[in-house]
Amino acid sequence: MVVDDAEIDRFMAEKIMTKYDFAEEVITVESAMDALDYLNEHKDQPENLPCLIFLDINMPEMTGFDFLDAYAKLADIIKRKCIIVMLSSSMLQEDHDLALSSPYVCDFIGKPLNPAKLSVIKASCLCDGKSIYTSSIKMQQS
Amino acid sequence: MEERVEQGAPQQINLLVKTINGTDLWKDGSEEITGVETLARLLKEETAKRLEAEKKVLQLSTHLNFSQKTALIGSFEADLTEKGHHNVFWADEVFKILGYKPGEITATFRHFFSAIHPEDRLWAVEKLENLIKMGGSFEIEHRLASTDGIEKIVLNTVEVLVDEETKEPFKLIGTVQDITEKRKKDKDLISLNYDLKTLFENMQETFFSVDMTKYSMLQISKACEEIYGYTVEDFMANSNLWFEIVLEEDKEIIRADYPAMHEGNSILQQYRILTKQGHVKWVESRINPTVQQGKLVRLDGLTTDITKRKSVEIALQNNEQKFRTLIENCSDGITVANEQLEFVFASNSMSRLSGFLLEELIGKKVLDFLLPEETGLAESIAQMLTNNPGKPFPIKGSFRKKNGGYFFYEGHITNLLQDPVIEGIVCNFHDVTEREKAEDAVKASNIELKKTNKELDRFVYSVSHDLRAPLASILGGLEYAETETNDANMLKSLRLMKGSAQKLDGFVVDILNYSRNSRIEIKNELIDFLQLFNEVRDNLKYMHSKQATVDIWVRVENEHVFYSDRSRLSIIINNLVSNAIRYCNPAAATRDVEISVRVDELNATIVIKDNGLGIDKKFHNRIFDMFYRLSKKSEGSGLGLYIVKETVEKLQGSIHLESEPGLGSEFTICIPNTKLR
Repeated sequence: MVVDDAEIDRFMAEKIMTKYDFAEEVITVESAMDALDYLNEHKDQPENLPCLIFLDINMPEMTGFDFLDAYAKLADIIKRKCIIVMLSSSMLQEDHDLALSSPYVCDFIGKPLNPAKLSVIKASCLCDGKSIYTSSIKMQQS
Repeated sequence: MEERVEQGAPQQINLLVKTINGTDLWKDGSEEITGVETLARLLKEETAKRLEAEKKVLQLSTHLNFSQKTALIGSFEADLTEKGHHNVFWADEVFKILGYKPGEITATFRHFFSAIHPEDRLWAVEKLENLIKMGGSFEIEHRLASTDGIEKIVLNTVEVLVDEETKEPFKLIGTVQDITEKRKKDKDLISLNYDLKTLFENMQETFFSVDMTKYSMLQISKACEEIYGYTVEDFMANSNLWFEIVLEEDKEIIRADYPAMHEGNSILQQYRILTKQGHVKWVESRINPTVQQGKLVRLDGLTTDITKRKSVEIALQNNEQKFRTLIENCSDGITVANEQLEFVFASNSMSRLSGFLLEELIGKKVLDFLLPEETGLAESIAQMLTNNPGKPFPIKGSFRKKNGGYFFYEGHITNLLQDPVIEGIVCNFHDVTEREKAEDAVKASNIELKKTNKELDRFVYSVSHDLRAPLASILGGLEYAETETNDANMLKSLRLMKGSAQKLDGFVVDILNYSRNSRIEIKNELIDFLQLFNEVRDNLKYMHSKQATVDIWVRVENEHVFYSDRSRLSIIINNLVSNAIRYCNPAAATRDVEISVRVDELNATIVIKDNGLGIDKKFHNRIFDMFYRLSKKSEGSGLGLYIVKETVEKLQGSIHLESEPGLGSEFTICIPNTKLR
């Protein structure tokens, strides 16, 4: 699921993920409210819940952080299924730190999305296509 | 009685008695006795003479007795003709002096001797025995053995009469006088005299007496030399000397007292004198005049050197004057209040500050002048003052002005009610109205500035975000489009577009970094270098997608904890590492960037070393300039190294570059450890 108010970003995300076989299905919503509505509507059909949620921060009316607050109150079944990846053009350390302090956020990716970043996400947040219930990113040492 | 008279005037009486006896009358009579009439006449005359003589003797005897009694003097005599058995006579007073009643014991030498004090007995007896042998007289003084606890001193006057023909002593006569009292008085007098003399000679004060009838110096004590430098003789020679040496300007002081002195009143004067040595001294004279029949006849006085006392007094006066002047001219206000919190003193400045005349303040309640909202606070301070005498408390508030309004004061207040000199609550303060106004203005402009800063921050943030978001979208679109075509022309134009978009994005990031570095306050946080470096590497890992890959090596030696500003360190390292990647040497076998750090107590030394293109020495001092770009190949904004330098300076660190073209560059950054701050 891609949550972004910019149409071009939703379009590009869908195109890239489809092209590189990152996801079978991409749901795009243009606001955080729509995203919450979708999740609540489908909480009884876990198969329709997204594995990954790409969340923009700077959106009108309800920001990405507002979404995270509302998300925390959702049913456990939803939270167990979904992993959130922040996708933003913000370069503020504060935004980065705040996002990662949420137990539901797995990674913080700068826009634009590209195949290289998708593979990183695949490696860090998904394991054999299954979600890992994780509280924070694990830093890789080299 | 007759015997005693005989002994009192032996020669004369003996002759008389001999004639009266009648036994030798006829034998020894030199006159021719003719007839009974003559005999009767003679007898009659004789009788009359005898009666007359007896009367005289009686008178004499009584007188003598009385005299002896009054003078505590007793007479004695002894007949020495009978060897070994002297016939001794003592007058009544002798008995009394020796401690007996008259006639209580027999008058003998032995009894007399035993009455002498044991310590004096031997020599006194020896002396007397010598006298009896040799004849003559002496006067000895000796003590008597105490009879009733009182030791008497007596004066013994003895004379031994010697027969002119036989040269044999035949009679001893003498007196014994009780001089105990006299001696005691003498002794007291001597010691008194001595004391007086000592006092007179040694006292620092000079005593003097002047006979005013002749205007002559009667006496002056030796201390005059000490005080005046002139000797006793100098004063005796010139009776007016004491007045001559008084300083001209002080002579009036002395003259002013003349009328009082002539009325017989004691006076006390203080004046200055010029000593013989030329020193000016302060003296004090206490003079007691003696006035007889309205005339001043004598002066007795005492003069003391009070120079030291006077100089202390003058110093005190000067001090007081000094402090008074200081207080009066001080721009600070000084007030003293009594226990009822009423003004008892206010310095001149108080009137200047408040506009009230001092008279309008003195006696008024302090609280009436304070801002009504502040009286509660003032009362609680008053309570603290009561509980803590002597301790100063800071105060601050508003004081009413006469023309309305208030002035702001700030100062200290101390309870000195117990201080015997002050006996009040002392407050010293200054007018801080202007400062207060200025502070308010500063506060207001600070708030304004903070607001502006915040707005600017928000503005920069929004601008950067609003600029970057569409740029990121454009980049995403371009990257996707690249994968959708194989047309070489299309690919080239897409690549160029992508390059421009990336450059614009870098520029926006630089501006944002610059703006944040210059305004946001420096944080002091624990730095995990390994994490920091990894983040930098993650940030940049999509960058080297060009012709060749760049390997980034990280080494951290942190034996000490390091505190600094994390986001600023991140800006520095990000910029330097991205430069190293951007200007890598495509011709090199491997392209490496080494990031290493060594932390000690004081600094962290970060080295970023690459084997890239390198920078020519001639550019080294220019590369940190704003908007300076090294070559046409530069893709950056020309802000990167400028921001690095600015940020390093903001953290009070230093940056140093070593570089050779073709070999690579090495930036060494030293950042202070703020752990101790």
